[in-house]
Amino acid sequence: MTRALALIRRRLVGSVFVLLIVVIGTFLLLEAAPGDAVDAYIVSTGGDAGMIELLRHSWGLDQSELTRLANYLWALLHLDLGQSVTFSRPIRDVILERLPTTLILMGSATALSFGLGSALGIYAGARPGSFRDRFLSIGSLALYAVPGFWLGLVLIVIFAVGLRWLPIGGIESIASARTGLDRAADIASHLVLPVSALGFIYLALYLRMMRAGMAEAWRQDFVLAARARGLSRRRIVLAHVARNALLPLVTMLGLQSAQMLGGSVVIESVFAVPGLGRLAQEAVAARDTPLLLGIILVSAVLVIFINLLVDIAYALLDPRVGASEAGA
Amino acid sequence: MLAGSRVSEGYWRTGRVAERTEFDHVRFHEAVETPDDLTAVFKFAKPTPFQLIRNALPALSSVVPKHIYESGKIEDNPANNAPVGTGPFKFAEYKAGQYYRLQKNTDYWGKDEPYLDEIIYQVLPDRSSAASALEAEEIHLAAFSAVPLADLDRISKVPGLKVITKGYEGLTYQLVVEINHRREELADLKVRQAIAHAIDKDFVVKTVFLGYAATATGPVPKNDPQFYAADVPTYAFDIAKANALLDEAGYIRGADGKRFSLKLLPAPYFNETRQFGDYLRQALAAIGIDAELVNNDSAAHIKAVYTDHAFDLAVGPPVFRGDPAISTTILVQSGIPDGVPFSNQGGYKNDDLDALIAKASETLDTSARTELYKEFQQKVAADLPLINVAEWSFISVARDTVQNIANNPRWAVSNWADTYLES
Amino acid sequence: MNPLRRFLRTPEALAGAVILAALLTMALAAPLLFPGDPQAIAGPALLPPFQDWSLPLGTDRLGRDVLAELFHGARTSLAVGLAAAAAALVIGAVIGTLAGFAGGLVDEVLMRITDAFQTVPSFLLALAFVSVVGPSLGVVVVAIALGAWTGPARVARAEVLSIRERDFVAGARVIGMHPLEIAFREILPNALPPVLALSSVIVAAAILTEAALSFLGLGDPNRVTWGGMIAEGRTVLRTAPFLSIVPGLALVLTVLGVYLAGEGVVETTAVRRSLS
Repeated sequence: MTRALALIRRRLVGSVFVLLIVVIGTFLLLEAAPGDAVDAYIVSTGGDAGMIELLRHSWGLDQSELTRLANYLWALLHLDLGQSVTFSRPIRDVILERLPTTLILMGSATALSFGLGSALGIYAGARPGSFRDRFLSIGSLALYAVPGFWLGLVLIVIFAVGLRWLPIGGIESIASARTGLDRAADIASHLVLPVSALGFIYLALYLRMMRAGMAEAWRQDFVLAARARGLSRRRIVLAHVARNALLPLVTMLGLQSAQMLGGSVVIESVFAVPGLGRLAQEAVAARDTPLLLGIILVSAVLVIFINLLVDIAYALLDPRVGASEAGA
Repeated sequence: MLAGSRVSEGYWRTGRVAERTEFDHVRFHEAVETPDDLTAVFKFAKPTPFQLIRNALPALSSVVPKHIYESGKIEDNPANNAPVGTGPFKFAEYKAGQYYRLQKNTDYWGKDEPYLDEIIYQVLPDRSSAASALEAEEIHLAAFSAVPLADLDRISKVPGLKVITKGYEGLTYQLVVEINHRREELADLKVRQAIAHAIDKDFVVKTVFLGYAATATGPVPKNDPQFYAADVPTYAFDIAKANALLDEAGYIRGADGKRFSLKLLPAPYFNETRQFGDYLRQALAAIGIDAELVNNDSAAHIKAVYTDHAFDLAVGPPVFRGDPAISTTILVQSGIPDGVPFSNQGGYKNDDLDALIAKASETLDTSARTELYKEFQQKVAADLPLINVAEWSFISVARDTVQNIANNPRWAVSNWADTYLES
Repeated sequence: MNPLRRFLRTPEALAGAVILAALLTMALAAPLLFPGDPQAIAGPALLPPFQDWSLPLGTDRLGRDVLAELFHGARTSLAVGLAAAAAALVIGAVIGTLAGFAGGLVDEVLMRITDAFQTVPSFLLALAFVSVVGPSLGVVVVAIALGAWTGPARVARAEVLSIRERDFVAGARVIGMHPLEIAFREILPNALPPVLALSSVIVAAAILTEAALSFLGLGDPNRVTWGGMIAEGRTVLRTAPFLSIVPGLALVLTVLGVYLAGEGVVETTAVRRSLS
């Protein structure tokens, strides 16, 4: 446990620097953009030069870059992400409103790809080199080659438009006044397609990693010993081979989180899911720089947090790793 | 009804915030007097044509409640995000990125109105999902061309759905090629004429708009009953003539078949403006002009075209709002400061035209004013400060059960008091 | 047995090689088979496939030849994929080598920067970058490379750390070679093979990212891209689904081909290593 604490402390210190780099880098990048939020705002409302001036001033866009960066960092210390231009609300509120949706989407998709991927990986890895092994491994690779947005479109055409089994998009039936389980079921039905589109693509990663790990494990002494002891094949596969191969998959979970978050931008746009990814796209379209900055920052924090969780889980599961990390 | 004094104050105060630059004339009002509760007298600093006021007010102004707007800065007023008015529906709820909900106003002055209990405006960021949502009976109505034109033919055959082209007569979009006259080549009338001849307007209407548009002849759309002038110079699709004009102008094709290159910026707001950009690039290639497409998002487009003038040709969708003085003359008038969107930022200056515009804005006699604007159309079509290609309006798709829709020229933004659902 | 034959012996690698060869042929033959601008209007709009043999795959919304667009799109996809991967590998190898070789503060700083880039979802970064700088082919390449160089950097650093204490490096120090020269002439070439093993994954990811950017309307409008074709086709998904399905299939096949061939190469070299 102390090892885990030491690990957390070390990671947190490192994370502060990483986040600082992210903030400053992103801030400078977005500053370089031609056209600011006022230009974007004027498109939808219209207004004359005087009004443009007034808006620039009231949104603080007429100050120097450095001043604004300093102000931004200062505000960040107070967990204040600033004011969104398009929503005229604090960015923190806007993001917190959208975050749960993305977390549910990502969590479900990760569960799907991890669960199904590792199960199929065990199934394939139980008999390395067999037909089912090859078939699953190629099949999952083919799935991994599919662009997420395209898979989403195909799923919509088949299941939402053609068969009408599932809703086309959104996160829940609008203003339906459902509550409790009814509402949860409604949300779940809306999530089936986006979660599938996002989850199926990454399934291959877990499947192939599991399979490769198992192929490796089969050759190891303790497996040979178990075979010599006359344990059933089923028991060997589950208790020895698969268990050993599972650990690296946990690391993959952390590494994948950033990719999943990126993938959800497109998936949320295809399925009109009001999550963080769609918000990012809205921010890009509306030139809402502070909002985009906030989203990138929150994503980075999220990725760091997930990786920290994964590391802790790993350290608890496998004492060797934690020891070397914490001791370093 | 609102008390007169509220009308006055409300009008006066929003006047400064909401009105658009192009609507310069009505801004010269000095005061609004309210002798009794049902009368409002508008006073103007200089003569302002009644025709203009009549045409402009419904499009560009709103009446707001005095007790809510009388204190504080208008732009900071919380009611901007939760509007309060006198209409048949009350603002109930807004979920960013998801929907807006309106509720029946039980105190509405119209007898028995409104018929609907609730209206939900669902946000569908993806255009292709509107048609599917209609078919899946998730929504009743998709207005403002939310259903892509390409889907209309198919969807019109779906039982239970109808395609409606009415209800937008007061809102006509014009597909316009904006020209930067600072470019030497484009300052030459022959080159502009050549470009006009190179554009196959019928093809554009047929292919880009799939027939849901009309070809344009000048800056006032054909569907306008008051001002439209048909007797203007026209430019038939004629590649040979366009090439000849360019040769005449002295821009001879080089060894690679190109005469000169330019930057083309299609406005990103509509699928159709982008697609027309793709088409225009091909049309220009046919007459030896090499156009490079530059796609920007809205903010960057506005800045590039209207502030930085970093374009040679741009494709824009200005709106004709029932009177040329509202948002049309500003497209060719000179002396507009940099940075005013949807105005003449192409550096075009024509004293004749400027004088004509100034005169028309002060002409009070309706028929004399109309005549001036007809002359304006002829001059614009002859000198081509910009090229009008097509004009279109929005299309609604609704379920059969929705009744009393599209029954006025601004229906989609009107109050919907008499709209109901047939069960 | 020569490595090429060994490579082609596994059916997966063979399939990958065939797909890539076909793709390369498409890309190279595009200007010969479909000279002129692939975005030129070639016929009536929305012609379904297999109706008119001069336009075998039909036309899109503006009447452009879908087959010509598909061929020219192959060029863009391959060009972007290869260029972005090359850029990512070069940046990654250089930064990884510097960090691993210099150690100390330099290593710490470079690795924190790498962490930072790895922490921001690469697609989000690409989206922000392209929207800021404006969509053109070069910008898209840079945007993708920005999110892809961290993997190679880490691998290169790890390799360099294991190589830098070896005898030949010590020898180079003794004869007085400049540290940078040692880093880039002695160490980097030896650290390269495992870095290059990442290239197929990076190329594949780059092709998919480019497609996703184009799909969101952030591709180069002067070029045909498969993602852009899907985005165009999306508005007529119900009326003319082939307009989205055809380029989508092309993308799937291409990426699959890259993966399969890449795996074949890794397996072949792995076998060779274990033999030597």
